[in-house]
Amino acid sequence: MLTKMNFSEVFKQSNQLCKVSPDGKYLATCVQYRLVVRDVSTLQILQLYTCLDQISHMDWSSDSLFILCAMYKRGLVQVWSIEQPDWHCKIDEGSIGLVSSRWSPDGRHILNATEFHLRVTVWTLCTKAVSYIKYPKACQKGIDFSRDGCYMALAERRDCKDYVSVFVCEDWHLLRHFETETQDLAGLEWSPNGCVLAVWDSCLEYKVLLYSLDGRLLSAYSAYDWSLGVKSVTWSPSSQFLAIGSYDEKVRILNHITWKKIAQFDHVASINSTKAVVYKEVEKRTAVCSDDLSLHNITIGSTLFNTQSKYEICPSPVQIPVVKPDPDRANPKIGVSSLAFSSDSRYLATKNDNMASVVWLWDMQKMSLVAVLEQTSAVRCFQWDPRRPRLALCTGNTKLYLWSPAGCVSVQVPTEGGLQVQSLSWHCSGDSLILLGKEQLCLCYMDQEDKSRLT
Amino acid sequence: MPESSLVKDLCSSSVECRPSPLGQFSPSSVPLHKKHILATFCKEHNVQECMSHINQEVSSLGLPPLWTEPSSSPEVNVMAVLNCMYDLIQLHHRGLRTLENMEVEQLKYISNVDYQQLTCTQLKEQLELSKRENAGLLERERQLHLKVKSLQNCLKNEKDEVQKLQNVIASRASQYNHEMKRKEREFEKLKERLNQLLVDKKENKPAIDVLNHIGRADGKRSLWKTQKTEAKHEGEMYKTLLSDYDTRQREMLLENAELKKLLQQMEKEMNSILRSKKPMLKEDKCQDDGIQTDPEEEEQVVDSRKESVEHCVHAREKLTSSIRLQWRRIKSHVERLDSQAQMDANKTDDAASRETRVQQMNRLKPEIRQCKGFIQTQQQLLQQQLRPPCEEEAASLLSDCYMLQDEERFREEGKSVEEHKRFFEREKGDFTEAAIRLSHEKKAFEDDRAMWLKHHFLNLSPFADLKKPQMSKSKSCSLISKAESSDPSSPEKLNTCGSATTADLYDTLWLIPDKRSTKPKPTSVGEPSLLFNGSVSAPHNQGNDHEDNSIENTSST
Repeated sequence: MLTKMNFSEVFKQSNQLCKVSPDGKYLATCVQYRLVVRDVSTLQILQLYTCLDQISHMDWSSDSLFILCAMYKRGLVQVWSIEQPDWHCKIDEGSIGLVSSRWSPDGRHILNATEFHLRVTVWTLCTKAVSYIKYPKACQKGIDFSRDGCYMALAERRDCKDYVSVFVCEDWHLLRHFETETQDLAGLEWSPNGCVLAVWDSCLEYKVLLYSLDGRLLSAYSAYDWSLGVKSVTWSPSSQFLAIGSYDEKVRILNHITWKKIAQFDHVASINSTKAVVYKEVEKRTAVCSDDLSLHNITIGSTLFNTQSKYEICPSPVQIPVVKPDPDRANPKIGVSSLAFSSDSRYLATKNDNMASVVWLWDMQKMSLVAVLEQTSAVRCFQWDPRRPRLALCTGNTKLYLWSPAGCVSVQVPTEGGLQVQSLSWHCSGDSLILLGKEQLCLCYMDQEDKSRLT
Repeated sequence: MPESSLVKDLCSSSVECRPSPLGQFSPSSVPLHKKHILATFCKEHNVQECMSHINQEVSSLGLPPLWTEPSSSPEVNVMAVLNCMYDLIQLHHRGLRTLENMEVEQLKYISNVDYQQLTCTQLKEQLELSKRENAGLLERERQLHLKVKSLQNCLKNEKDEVQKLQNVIASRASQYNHEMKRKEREFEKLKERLNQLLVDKKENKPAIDVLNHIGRADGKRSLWKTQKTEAKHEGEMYKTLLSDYDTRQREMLLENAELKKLLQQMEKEMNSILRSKKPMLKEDKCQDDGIQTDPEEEEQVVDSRKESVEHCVHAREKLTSSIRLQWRRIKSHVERLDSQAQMDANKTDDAASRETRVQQMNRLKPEIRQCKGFIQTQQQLLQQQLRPPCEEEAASLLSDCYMLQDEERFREEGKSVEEHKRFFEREKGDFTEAAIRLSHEKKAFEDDRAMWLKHHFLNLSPFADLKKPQMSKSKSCSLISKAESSDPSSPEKLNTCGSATTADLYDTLWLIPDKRSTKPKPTSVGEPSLLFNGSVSAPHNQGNDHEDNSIENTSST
């Protein structure tokens, strides 16, 4: 069953800033200092806003009514309203600088981190009140909001010790403040049910701590000592599993009942499993006859030089190409850096950095490898469909790749001039994909004739 | 005396043969001390023989002979005999001496041999000892080798570990360095900024500029921060935690209930299996678990049913232990069955396999026949499929030929039809032309007639007759000649003679009485046309009328 895929024309964007509103109706893109709001289905421009400087960061509020545009160089944040285009709001951080800006879950507060992370300022659009939070920690992921939007966890560092503060988002009341047993806290993440906070240490120490909402330490997990530790952490949407990807090229799964490891996934260089399907992308170059090099053909352009590709199933054993990283450099390109659970928690997609062109798919029911996708170049981005177990990935060429349990397909993005897909994101309904190139974007609409069926 | 007879005999033959006459008394076998035997050697009758014999013996011993042969004097040279005797005694002593020496030597040799043997055994023992020592040493060496190898392995492992740890240290060091550098850079930036801020007095305070404040997302008004709200927050937090625990506990209860149901089901099924095989098991039960297990089993089943509602640990343990027990029993039973089956299988293996093979053969044969039939029919069909297309081609070719013939014929016919059509059209054209000409001629004829009548009336006078009939006659002659010339031509040659024939026709039709058709209309035409218009029933043009009218008019005026 083929899904019909329609590709829209190509639009300009800058800085990879392109986001769909949470309600799925609008698409906001930034072109230099302009903010363009389009309708998602027709791609007609609905609103056009002009900011004071080149936009560094852009985000929708949770109720899809406002958009914030942050300009880090100027230290400005401008907020625009979709309902009232005349409404304007400008936050000027002045000489204190601006490093990051984000919405609060209720869509009425903006949290700005100042330069050097001296403090976090909480601006509100409802009143004239301003709040400050001192000593925030500058780390990989220092702030996280719980999914229901009630609580915010913030990492702090004071007197060479790490702390976590839990705030109630309603009125920014400090609920809990506790010290963590980490050497150098690198990140924290709420579980989807909002009851457990996972906190992990920097890569110099493998340590993952699990705290309850009220600040009690539920469990501490450390797989090994000395070697570089945790590289990435993610929760499963059902909150049942916590997947930890580390520099030793393994993923360890902890369960939510005992917080002990129940499975370990190895990314081996030679795959011998009979149950796993190994898809290898094979390129077939379209033959170019010298007679046909007329001007007409050349202007059609990249189609001549685009290579068709398809997936072939490789019989086991399969050798995966491995690139050894430079041992003298910091943050070596080795270890599991990307983890993503499918929306039904059935599948886990992982990427090991020294096998950069390979995406591994694991079945969480059987706790085993179910598929391996080997691409021709390094995988840049992959994301699960928010509704069904379908994975979209891109490798920086003009193709879009889709995997589902039924099979795997490689789709050429039909644009003039060739859009090199650098990253992609799904629409919240799972019916369309936004493909971002360096300075361009394209939408791919998928007609679901038969739900979740792909050849 | 048998001895003497023997001696006699022997002596008689002593000349020829060397052996002593006293054959049985050879010196070697005779002990030396037995002199009495030697005494009987010589007698009175065999003196000569004895003498010769002794002579021979002495000479063989290397001593000078006692007497010469030919001399038959029985006188014996006493001196020679004594010398001989002395020599013999000397020889004898010498012999004895050598014998003694040899005996001594023999003793010596014997003792040597004994000594050698002794040393030999001693050396053998030493060899054995040394061999054993050697074996022991070899064994030690082997063990040491093994130890060395294991130590080398350990060393290698240690080295590997050291290498790994060094790598880890290196990566950690590089990571630390990286972090240090990052922090240093940030620190520098901070210092710069601080300097900048100290220098730059104007500090831009952060500010917000909003057009108008917007309402809260949930529409409620914000509350003051009081203890009440704090307590409320705490309460809400605990509520979420508790609800989460609640849901988890409910899920686990459900799971537990399901698993317990499953276990009970398994137990029931196992029970039923075991009950059906009870007669077999009863014998083994006595061996395995004792007789008590039977009533226990039933008890447990009953218990588990009773306590299915209670979730106490006791019931759970009972359930699991009973299931484990029954599972063990089933396992042993199945193992026994397996072994039995194997034994049976080994016995009836060949027969069974043969049987199965025969059965398979029987099954496969008709299948093969069927398949062959299918293949044949398919081949036939294929051939049929292939053949008709060829025939059809031939047929089509043939039909094409017929078609061609027909086509040609039709083409020819078409051509002829076209020709006919053209001919008919031409003829039509000609007919119309002829009709037009005829009408013109008719008109002209009418005019002529009118003229002729006029002239006729006018020519009632004698002068006018001479000219006109000549003219009309000449004209009619030309017409007649035309008609005559046109007669032999075929009706198809329309172009040349068509007009003539139609003209001829009309002429013959209308101009039988007179043939004065083409005559120039005279300018002055009299009234006689008026008079004859009614009687002349030939069609005439309006032009004709007009001219007539004009003529009338002119004439009337």
